[in-house]
Amino acid sequence: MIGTPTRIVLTLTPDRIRGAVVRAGRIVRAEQIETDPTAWEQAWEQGLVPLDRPLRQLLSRLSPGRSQPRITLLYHARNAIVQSHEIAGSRDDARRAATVKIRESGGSIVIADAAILGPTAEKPGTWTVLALADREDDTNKLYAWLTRCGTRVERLIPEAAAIVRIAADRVLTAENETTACCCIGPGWSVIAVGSRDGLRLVRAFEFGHRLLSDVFQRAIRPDDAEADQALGERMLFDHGLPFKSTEISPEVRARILPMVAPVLQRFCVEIKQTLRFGIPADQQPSTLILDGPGAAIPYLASAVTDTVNMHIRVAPGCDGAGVLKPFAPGTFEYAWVRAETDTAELIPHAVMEQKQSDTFRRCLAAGAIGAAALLGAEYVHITGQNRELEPRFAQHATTLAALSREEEARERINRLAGAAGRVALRVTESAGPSADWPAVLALIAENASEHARFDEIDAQVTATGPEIRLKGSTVGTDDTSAAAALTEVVQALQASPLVTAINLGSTTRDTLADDRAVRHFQLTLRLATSQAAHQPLADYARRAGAAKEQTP
Amino acid sequence: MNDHTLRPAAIRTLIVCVLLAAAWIFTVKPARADLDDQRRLYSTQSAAVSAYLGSDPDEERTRRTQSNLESRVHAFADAMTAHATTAALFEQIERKASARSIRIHRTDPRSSSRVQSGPDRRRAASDEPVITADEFLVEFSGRYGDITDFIAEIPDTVGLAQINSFRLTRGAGDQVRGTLTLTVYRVPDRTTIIPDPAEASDDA
Repeated sequence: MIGTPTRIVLTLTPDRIRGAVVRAGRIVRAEQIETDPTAWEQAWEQGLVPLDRPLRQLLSRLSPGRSQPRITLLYHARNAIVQSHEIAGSRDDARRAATVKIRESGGSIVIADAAILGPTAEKPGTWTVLALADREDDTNKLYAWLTRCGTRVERLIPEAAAIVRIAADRVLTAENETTACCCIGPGWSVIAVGSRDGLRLVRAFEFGHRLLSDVFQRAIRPDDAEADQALGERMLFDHGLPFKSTEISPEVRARILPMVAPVLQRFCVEIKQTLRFGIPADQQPSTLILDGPGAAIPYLASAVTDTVNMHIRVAPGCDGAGVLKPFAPGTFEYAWVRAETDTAELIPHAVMEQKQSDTFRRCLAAGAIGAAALLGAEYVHITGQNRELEPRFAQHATTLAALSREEEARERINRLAGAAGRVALRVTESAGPSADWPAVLALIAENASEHARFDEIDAQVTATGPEIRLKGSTVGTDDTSAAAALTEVVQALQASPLVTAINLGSTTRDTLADDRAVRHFQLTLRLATSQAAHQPLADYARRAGAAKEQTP
Repeated sequence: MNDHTLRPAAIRTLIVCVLLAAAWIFTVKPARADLDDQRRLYSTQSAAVSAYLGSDPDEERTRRTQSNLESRVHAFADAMTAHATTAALFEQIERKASARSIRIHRTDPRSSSRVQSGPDRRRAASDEPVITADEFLVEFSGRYGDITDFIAEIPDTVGLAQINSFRLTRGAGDQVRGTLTLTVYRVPDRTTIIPDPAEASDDA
């Protein structure tokens, strides 16, 4: 997949760096680069800087892409401590207890971890736990080396831990009742005894096939520093231990045998002592299975048989194994990759911090994305609700337009009537009441006749209202008819809506020259007040003023 | 996590929080406020629309009312500004009387005052409209019918006038002699009554 980081398993031993691209437990591509084993210690003292170039070359062959590969490193540790413990309790408790134990034995400057190898045989509830530790200084150097070369460190596993894991798995999955297995790695070997029910013994000791190949190398090229460093190893795995071999020249055999014998002797002693002190005498296994890359050394089994006094068998698949090829079947790294089981691993503090930092960054990114998504969802929700209001507003539009026109009209009415009304009110208050004078004059004219005449009309507006005083006379053939004419005038005036009250004043009798009777009279008429044309405006201003005063 | 990793993590967290807060402040919060405003506006509009529809709205009636009021106000303004000077007023009275065959013997200004506002005249403010009240006396003679018509036309002739008193006495033949006192109310200009210049003209 494009952009997906490649997972690479590396092995670091004094004489080479091997690497393989692993996908889903399958080895896709494997490469190796030889290094100078004599410069091993010096390289560590220099922080593994001399190994930068070989590693970069190896990585460029394995992973030419730009993505940062994730690295699991199986390395030959200089100062690692590997222990196995039998601890009762839960798996987690046993693991924690083993970690504490090895940390106590290793001091404060170690990186430690533990992993459950399997149940302990004949001890229910007890676990056999692999505990390992290494100096923090060394793990930091490894971390810095790998980081410098552009990789991302995932796990650091000492070679011994990987061999222990392989050996334990071999015993726990064996078909026989009880199996004793000796797994020989490049630098470490492990003896494991047990069955499917559990492990009886697991012990690692520092002996590997590299010791034997070094002996061969020294015997073949004793003084040639420029010689092929892998020549001895090839010869070891091609010809085996040359006790009885005729394929090797007698001179070489003569040089090798004295050097091999003490190494082999030490290996046999480790086996015998381990079994003697680890397994009760009545339960000693009669057969020992050789496993791991070292088991592929020809004639090793027969050489060991003579010394340890046991039946020695080589595990299936180890015969003729191509252990010289990187990650080929028969190599310990191949077995480790295929096993894919839980192994104790050493993780430097820097890696832990990097992991924590990565986890934190991922959590932060997830949180930020989640929060941003929530914000976006809320924004979309709000926008949707806002959009839902638009058609409702549109429904109101027509009515609101009519309402707006109505309000504008009312405002205009109020504005017009307000100023005009104030002026009209003041004029009305100043002028006082008035009468409909033309109508009153017309009324008087209507009542004038040949029997009634008005000589003087005096109109004025008094404090009680408009009134008019009339002076006139009525004429009759006699006094009675003159009085009747006056009465008729008074009644006619009184009947008019323009007149509210009538007061007949003094009357005098007289006789004309032709003997007709005359009644002179004075009338005072109280008149109805009339409304001026501007009165409605004044009334409006009065009402508006009253409403304003009532408003708090 | 130690101090070396804690500080960048804290800074990173702070930056993310600030960015999220800024995004909330500049996008979601204004949108939420806008939505609240729109809802309030819609609620207010709904109440106004319901009240309007419940009040049996009649735009035609309102328009008629407005039209009537405008006519009345303009007529009132016309009356209050009919004559700018007393001379013009007398000239108009003379013209009307002559048209009725009425002879004017005397026209006499009696008094002129400014109309104060209401009973509390101390409160007359500077923004009170200036209304002048001029009292006149007119002596005239003519036939009774013509005089009646003349008196009826006085308000239309002189503007807004109040007849205070009159006295008519019979003369020789059908002639009647009379005196009339009236008060004419005036304002300096139409804006006293119609403040809005756009509405002050009759065409408005």
